Amino acid sequence: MEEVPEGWKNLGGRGLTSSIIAKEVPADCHPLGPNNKLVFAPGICCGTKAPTSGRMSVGGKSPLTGTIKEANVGSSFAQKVGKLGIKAIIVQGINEGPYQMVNIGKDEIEFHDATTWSNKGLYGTYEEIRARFGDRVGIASCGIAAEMRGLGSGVAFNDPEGLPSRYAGRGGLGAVMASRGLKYIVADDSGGPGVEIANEGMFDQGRKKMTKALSEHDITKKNGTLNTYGTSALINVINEAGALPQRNFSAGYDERASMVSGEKKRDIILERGGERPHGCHPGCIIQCSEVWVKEGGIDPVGVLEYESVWSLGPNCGIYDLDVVGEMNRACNNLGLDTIEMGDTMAVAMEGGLAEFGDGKRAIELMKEIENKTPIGRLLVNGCVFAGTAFGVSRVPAVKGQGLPAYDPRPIKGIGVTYATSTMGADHTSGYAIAPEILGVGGKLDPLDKNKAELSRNFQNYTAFVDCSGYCLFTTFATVDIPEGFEGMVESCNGVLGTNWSVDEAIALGSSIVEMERDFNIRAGFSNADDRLPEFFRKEQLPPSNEVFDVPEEELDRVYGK
Amino acid sequence: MSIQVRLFGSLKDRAQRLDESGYVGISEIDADARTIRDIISSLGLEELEVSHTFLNFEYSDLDAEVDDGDRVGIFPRDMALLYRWYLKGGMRKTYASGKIKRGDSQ
Repeated sequence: MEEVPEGWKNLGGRGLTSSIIAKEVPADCHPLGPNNKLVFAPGICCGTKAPTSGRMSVGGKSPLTGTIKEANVGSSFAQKVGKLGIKAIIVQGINEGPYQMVNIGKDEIEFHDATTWSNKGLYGTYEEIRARFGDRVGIASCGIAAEMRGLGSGVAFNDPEGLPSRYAGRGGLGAVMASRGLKYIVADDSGGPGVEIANEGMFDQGRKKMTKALSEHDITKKNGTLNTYGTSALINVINEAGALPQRNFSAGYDERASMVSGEKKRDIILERGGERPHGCHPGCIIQCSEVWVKEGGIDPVGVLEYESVWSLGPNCGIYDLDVVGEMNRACNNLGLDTIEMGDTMAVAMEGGLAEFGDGKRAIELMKEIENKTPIGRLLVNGCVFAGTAFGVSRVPAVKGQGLPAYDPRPIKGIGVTYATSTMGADHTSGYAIAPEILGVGGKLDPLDKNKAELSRNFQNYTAFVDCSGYCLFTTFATVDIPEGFEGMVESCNGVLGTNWSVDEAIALGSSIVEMERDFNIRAGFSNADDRLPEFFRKEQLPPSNEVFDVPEEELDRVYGK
Repeated sequence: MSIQVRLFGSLKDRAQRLDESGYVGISEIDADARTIRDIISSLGLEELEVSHTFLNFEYSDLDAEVDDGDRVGIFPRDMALLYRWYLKGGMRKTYASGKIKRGDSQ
């Protein structure tokens, strides 16, 4: 146990993970070698009574992208770590022996040989671990894909039912964890001190403002969009926008997409006796999540998020929710990022490993991963690797990371985020995207002012949110209801005893993004890497027939250089 | 003029028929409509019941003008899930409160 260095006392979440990685990890290290580190840091308000604040960041140098990486997850694990009074868990060095489990409690840290819970699916091992250590524990882990050092492996966490369905998914951080020799972190906060709150009055004022904003906004309120349909409300929306990538980004619309819509999924879940709505962590008042089950209400999977439904569904030409459910179960079981796995499967399909739409074959291929066959070893390494292996040139990736569920040709703004994010093709690092980009091509919106500034502000705003412990989805409310964002900042001030204004909070976000960009430059990246693959510029996407035509100079302007 | 309208979510049952999934309503309307706003009104919908609207696969606001053979997609309020400025035409204060009228500038 170490004391928190003075300069890091006011950081949490992504601010802390990126600071630690930027300072302590040589930017040119091998991500699976001895000099990389893996950092778990709960957000500033994580573990408090603040609503929807159970988020934790996991950071390291990514073996998939070679950049700095922060992946963000919602789980009671995060809150338990916060309540144990822990600001960060830093995993460093390589343990050569059998895989380990580390158990963290209020008084002790213990290590256990994790062999008996290795080389097995996580649904089973999570059950066994809860049986052994009590079902109050929070569990973070890597899976079989990480044991193979797969670049598409994520870090899995428990949901409130104890299923391994929550993920710090992107960037291959599961492989970083496995390469340290660590399989599981088990947290038990029984008797723990709770999160220390420096200024109760300020904290209460802030959290109440946030609660009010979340309760009022159409997207975040009870019976609002997220509560009713979850993120999968976007399937029909983005399909109607002609931007839902089908069959490895070869079209933006398919009328069959409605077969895997959030509206249909919700009805099936309710009919079968699954759960909807559902919070991924205790204390969430948005409750966008759910538990998908098979016919008969058996074999719960966990949530089928928009990104997962898209990547394992329409991007693979699959329009069957039961197939998507089984594919998602396999990803959760094996410790795989669903976005990267869907991108990979789609590229492999284009390369002939299976037909687009062949759900049965796709599920069989997931078994190859479980059995660690050579094809399995290939498939866990992301879509770029698959593209090379199968001779496919339409590979949708930036800085090695597969694209998420929005085609950048009709939605140019998100293409700018994909290209310029410090994380590779990432939809969450600046989701509220650049209105300036909407002006490219001459269709300027006369209401917009200072677009470049607005664009940069959103990425910085998001970086602050990623420090706070609040879920990114609170921003649907806070960008429209300023008191909500004030509440976010005030509750952080309350916890830490700081006095940040809203502008200072965004400036903190900016400093984090700058720190990440600096790491990436030291890791060998330049503006030349802030680009989308060639095919997005050349191949028109039906039905809009757009290409990504944002000039390179515009991309370079996002960071003002 | 002939327009194909797709109604999503809780609006689907106001359409003439449903698609294969049963979750998207489709209507072919013969309308004297000039804009999407006219179409919404002719379907008997209140503006406050509606969130995102699309015209020929492009995010559009209510003043977007429609033409013969166009396709309009209409989402209900409880399927709003994009930041209001996310796509072209999205600069409206729509979701923060039921009291704010659509079409108001920022």
